Amino acid sequence: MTHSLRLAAAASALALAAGAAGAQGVETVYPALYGEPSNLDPIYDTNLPALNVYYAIYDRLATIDAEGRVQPQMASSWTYSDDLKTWTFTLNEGMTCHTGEPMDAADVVFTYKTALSETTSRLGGYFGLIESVEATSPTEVVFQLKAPFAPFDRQTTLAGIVCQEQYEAMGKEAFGRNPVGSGPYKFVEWSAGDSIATTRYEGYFGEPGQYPNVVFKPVPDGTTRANSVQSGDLSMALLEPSLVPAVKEAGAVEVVTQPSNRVIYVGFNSNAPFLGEEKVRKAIDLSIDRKLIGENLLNGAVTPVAQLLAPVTFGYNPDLKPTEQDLDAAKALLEEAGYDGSTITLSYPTTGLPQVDQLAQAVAYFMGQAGMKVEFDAQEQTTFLNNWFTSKLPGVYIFAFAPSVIDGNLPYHMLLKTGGQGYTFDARIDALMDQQIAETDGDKRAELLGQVGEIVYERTIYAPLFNDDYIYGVAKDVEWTPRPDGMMTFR
Amino acid sequence: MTRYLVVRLAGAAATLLAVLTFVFVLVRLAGDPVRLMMPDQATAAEVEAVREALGLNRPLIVQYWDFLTSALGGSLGDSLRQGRPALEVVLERMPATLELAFLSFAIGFAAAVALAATAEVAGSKRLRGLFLWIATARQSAPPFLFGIVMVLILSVNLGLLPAIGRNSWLSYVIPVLTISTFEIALYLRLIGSAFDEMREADWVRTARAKGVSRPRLVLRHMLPNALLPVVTVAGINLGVLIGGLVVLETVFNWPGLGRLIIDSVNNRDFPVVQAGVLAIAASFIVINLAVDFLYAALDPRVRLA
Repeated sequence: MTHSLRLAAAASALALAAGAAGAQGVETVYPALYGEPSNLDPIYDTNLPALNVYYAIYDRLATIDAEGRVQPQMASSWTYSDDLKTWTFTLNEGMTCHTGEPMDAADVVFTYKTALSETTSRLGGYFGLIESVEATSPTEVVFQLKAPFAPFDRQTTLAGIVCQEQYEAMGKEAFGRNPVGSGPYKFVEWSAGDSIATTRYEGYFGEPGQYPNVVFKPVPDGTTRANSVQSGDLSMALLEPSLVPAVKEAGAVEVVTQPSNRVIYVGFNSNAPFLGEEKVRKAIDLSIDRKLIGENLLNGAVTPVAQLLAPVTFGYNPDLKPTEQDLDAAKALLEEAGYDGSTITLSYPTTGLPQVDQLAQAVAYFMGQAGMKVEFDAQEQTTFLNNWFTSKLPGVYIFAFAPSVIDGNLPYHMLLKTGGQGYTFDARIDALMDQQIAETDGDKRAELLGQVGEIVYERTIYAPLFNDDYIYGVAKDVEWTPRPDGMMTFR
Repeated sequence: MTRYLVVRLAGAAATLLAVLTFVFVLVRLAGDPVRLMMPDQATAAEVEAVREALGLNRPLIVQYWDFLTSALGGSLGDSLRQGRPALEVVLERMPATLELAFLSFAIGFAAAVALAATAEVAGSKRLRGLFLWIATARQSAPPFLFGIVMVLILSVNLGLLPAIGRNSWLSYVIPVLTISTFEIALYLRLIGSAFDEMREADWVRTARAKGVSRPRLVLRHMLPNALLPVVTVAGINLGVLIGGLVVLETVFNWPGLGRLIIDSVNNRDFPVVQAGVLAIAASFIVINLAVDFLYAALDPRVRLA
């Protein structure tokens, strides 16, 4: 942002204060991404920074709104068979690619088929359950699944639809640098390491984009993000909780809080000594003072939780109440379990979670209060993630789960189902999971997922800690609604 | 001369090979890139298929051999993330880093020369002490800290300059200011002590006795001689500066090589890390080679042999 523009922005902020409507004065917004996409081909990069840019450039069959509900986007409606294996999507008419050609069922089928047939496609990893996909007319797409999958409509929100003609003409490498979609913003320019510029696509079939230009800026460093949103170089940026008080006090930007879809939890490798013991897991759960950590360490930017799903996530069980600290009960349980004072390892990723070093120290402190001996095992984030995926964490660990499609199936599937990334399994959970995935009735399905939450709570398979807030610094002249999944959208 | 060149180039090649081997092994010890780029729910079979397609399931020694042979053929492999040649990805980011390094170096060096010469022409010990004191005080604040403070004052509070990016000449001010001022103290001290040695030298006394004016004596005779030892140090230091930008680029969100390497380490994009480190090592070697030639050109007593 040039600094004369900053003046203009300040002037329009005054206009706003004087009662002018909307954000019309702002020509360009500069949202901060916390990482840079590797390419802009939805078939090949599915990481969150890329997904965020896709939300502007590409449309998807369905979308998820700011309340976590699934909504139509390219598809005006859809139906599913009773066995949840055949899904039929009816597309809107009049959709066009940014080059002006019509966008229809053929492009949808092309996107999915390419994702499924290319070995190295990342998107394919989301859709292994698709048996076949075909266009039955220019406005109808039918999916056949290998097995029932109730949240399939949510799953389609992950697949930005590419324009087949351009994709084939350019080839995937060139397309990934010059993407063509049918979303409300079209791609303008990618300046490596600096910005990805998009501009409003005037031919968009639906509600036009909110701003004339959206320029995404990858800014991985938290301090740099906080400084540059305050200096006006960014319009909105995710703030690290530790920086929030200072940003608030400076008053240069609006500080906006949005409860996320993420739950920070304590996990247990039940193959480690004592951790297979339910009483020891319960003792750890009971020893932690969630309120104290939340209010004093994390500046109140978190809400204690009793389950692995955030309130916004489909399948959240409103009846479960977070564990209150009870050191005496914890000590008694440890004694019953015959805990002999041997060392328990506490692993955590050194980045990616709010104030994670201090959080780990607090958890270890409380475990120590209950009489446990804890040793730290701080791992670099990527290393940790690989260990998490391969179930190789040595003992107790702190991590988080934020399901992109805001549905309980994925976290429960990965963390709890036999054969997943977890360590403690339960036949009842396996049965409930099989039941919910084939349940056509949404309310019933939510209830089944809720029951899974209850079993996790009852057996302390995990000790969920917090649902954390995403806190943003937002330029005062910009109107913008954050989302629970942390995506920045301008529709 | 030819022999000298051959020996130096062979040495450079050996250094690059050592650097590459080191990086090749080190970056792979840190874990698997494939699981990270696949969606959470991808099955083990899908992950394995990608690993195979990218050739990452082969024994390390086979991968290394493959890497070396294709490196000899001029290819450093394709980025695992972007699919295009790693060298292309690196070269795209290289100008931003070199530009910042050379510009800051040139300004810092020039400022040091100007300050040292001013003090010497004035013949004032006090002035020289003052310059040195200020430069040392500045140098005692590490560049990333100084940089953040500059951003807070000039961008956040006063709103005069951009805090991040490389979009107009204004974007250069804070980064260049941060790096160049850090360099001044070093050169100021080196040139200053060279002046000290010279002041009592016979040829200086002779020049003075002949009635050469003080400015002319300092600028025409003493300064060129004082710069000789500085050139060597400057060469090494410039190389160090390029490597050190890795941290500073993060502070200013500068779209250079340093940030690319950090991103690629985090993503375990091995070929890009390798190409990036190679680029830095190569520029270090080229600069040092250039310094040797420059030295020979500046000092007729030196022969490259």
